[in-house]
Amino acid sequence: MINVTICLEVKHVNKNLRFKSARALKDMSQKDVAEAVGVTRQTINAIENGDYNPSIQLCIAICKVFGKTLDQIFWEDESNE
Amino acid sequence: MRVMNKNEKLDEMQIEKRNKIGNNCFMAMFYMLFIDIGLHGMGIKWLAYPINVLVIINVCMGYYLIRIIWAGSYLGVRSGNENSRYLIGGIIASVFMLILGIIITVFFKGEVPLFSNLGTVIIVITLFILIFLAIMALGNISRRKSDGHGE
Repeated sequence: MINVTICLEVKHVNKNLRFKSARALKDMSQKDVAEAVGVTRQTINAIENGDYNPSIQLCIAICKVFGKTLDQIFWEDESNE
Repeated sequence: MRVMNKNEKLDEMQIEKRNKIGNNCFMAMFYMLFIDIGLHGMGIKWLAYPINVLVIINVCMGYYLIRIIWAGSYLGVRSGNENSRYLIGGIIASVFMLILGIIITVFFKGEVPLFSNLGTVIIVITLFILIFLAIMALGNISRRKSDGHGE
């Protein structure tokens, strides 16, 4: 008997859901956030989807717009990943 | 708090992408020119001298432009109608240059070889410029459309 093992590659989804929920709480669109911090909507979208790591300056600007701390939006630990 | 480039054009992600694409294109141009020199040394002439370099540079430039538009790094944060105005101006100037090139090629051919060459070069350059402007216009349109679909 031959055992066949099928390996499925599961893409690791690294979306920043806390960013998205904070944005939703403020009732802001990606465009609104982008305009508030002075970047393009595509950059905000990339940050939300985990495709781009923003600079510390941009992180701070985003946190100020949301009224949150860096920890609350960007810090990753076991409970927050 | 605004986090923007000093020239208030591209944001940090756009600059990062543009730099990466620029490096790739520079290396591509370097190798293409290198290969062209090698081919020339081996006796293979695929195009006459000034035009071959011109074509290589323009191909690389076109590739760069397409890649940065594709990556969303062409238009900056505050791009408005100014870009459209520049585009229209560029198209008008290119058409004028194209006509000039054709006139020089047709009327001065044979009499003065320099002018004949110049006319061909002008035509090739302006054709490439027109293609680039068309790509830019498409980039502008696609960017505006994508901005309209913000969540």
